[in-house]
Amino acid sequence: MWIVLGLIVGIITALALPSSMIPPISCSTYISVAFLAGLDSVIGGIKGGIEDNFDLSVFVSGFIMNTLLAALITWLGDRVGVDLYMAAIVTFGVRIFNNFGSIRHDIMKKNMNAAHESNKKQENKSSAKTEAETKE
Amino acid sequence: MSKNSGRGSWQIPIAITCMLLGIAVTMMFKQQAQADFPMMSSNRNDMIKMVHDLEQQKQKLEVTIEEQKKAIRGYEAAAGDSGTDMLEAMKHQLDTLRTEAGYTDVAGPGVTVILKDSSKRPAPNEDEFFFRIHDVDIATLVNELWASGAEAISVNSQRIVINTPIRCVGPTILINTARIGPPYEVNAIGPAEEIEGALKMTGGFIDYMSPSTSKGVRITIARKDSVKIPAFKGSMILRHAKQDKADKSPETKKPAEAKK
Repeated sequence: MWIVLGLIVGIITALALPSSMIPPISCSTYISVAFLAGLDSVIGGIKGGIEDNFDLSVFVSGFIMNTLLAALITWLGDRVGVDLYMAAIVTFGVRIFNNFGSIRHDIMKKNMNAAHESNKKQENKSSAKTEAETKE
Repeated sequence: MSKNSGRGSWQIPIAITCMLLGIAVTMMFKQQAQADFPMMSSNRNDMIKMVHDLEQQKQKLEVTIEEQKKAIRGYEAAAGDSGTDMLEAMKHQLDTLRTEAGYTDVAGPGVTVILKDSSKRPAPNEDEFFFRIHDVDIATLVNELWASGAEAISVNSQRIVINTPIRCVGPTILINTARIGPPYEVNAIGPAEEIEGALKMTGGFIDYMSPSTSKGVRITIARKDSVKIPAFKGSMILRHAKQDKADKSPETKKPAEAKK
């Protein structure tokens, strides 16, 4: 899969970077927030892809804007001494779990549908019932 | 999965984002590793190599010093053999001064103090400090030994001379220019009974170490009829300290000459 390949390429790239390129420890909250923003976008994008309503412009703008907003909030929190980045972490965390849940449901639905479609010819009524159930 | 035409179009941007994600995650791990072990950065190996190279270099230089000293002794012997009383007397004086300054192996009655780190592990609420021997402990012991009449001291075969530093460098103690580790064997030549008494008296070294000994640090003091103490291996070159010309007393002049 392209996604796994991308992840591996990223890890290798970062491992190959010289240690002088590692951002200082004071940036660690920024990196973790950026990481969460990225993970949120990826999970959201996969969900969109599976549900067949993936939109590149929404994906890219969402990723960039979310990251920027999260960075802004983190920076602001740093200035005023409040851990505002928590807000970003909680928001992204909730969204990641929600989207992940949707992906799970989508995949299960598809598997169920595929299983029922093979039985469809034999029992039309029952398949109609299960479809009605899955729509709920 | 979705339609064939749509598959690539949504997977590639996600793959690119995943790449950024991979970079971020690896950065986080690297950062954490660096925060846990500041010396774990990639130049650590370079630094270890540098230390080893410098230590090798130091050993070579010590050999050179030894050769030079031998050559000087050869010249002195030749000068002494040539006969005149004055040269003989000067050579004798030079030998005495060398011994006093710590440039010769010496032997005599004295004490051996052995200090060992605690074999116990500190409990979670205990300070690790008192479980180990520190540079200050060695320095205090050496100080006490001088004060109680020791004439020559060595720590793990490093001779203590007038400008010997005793300090903490990472997990080891640096004496002169050598790294030493536990157990520490401190030899001192001097009045054994007096030295032992001074170390054991109230407020003395044993007393001073009681917080450590209660945690398992072991100190043994043994009186010995013959203690051997090696010569100082380095050399002393005074680059900045010059003899004060106003002071004409010969006593201060001669040691300075001897050290060259």
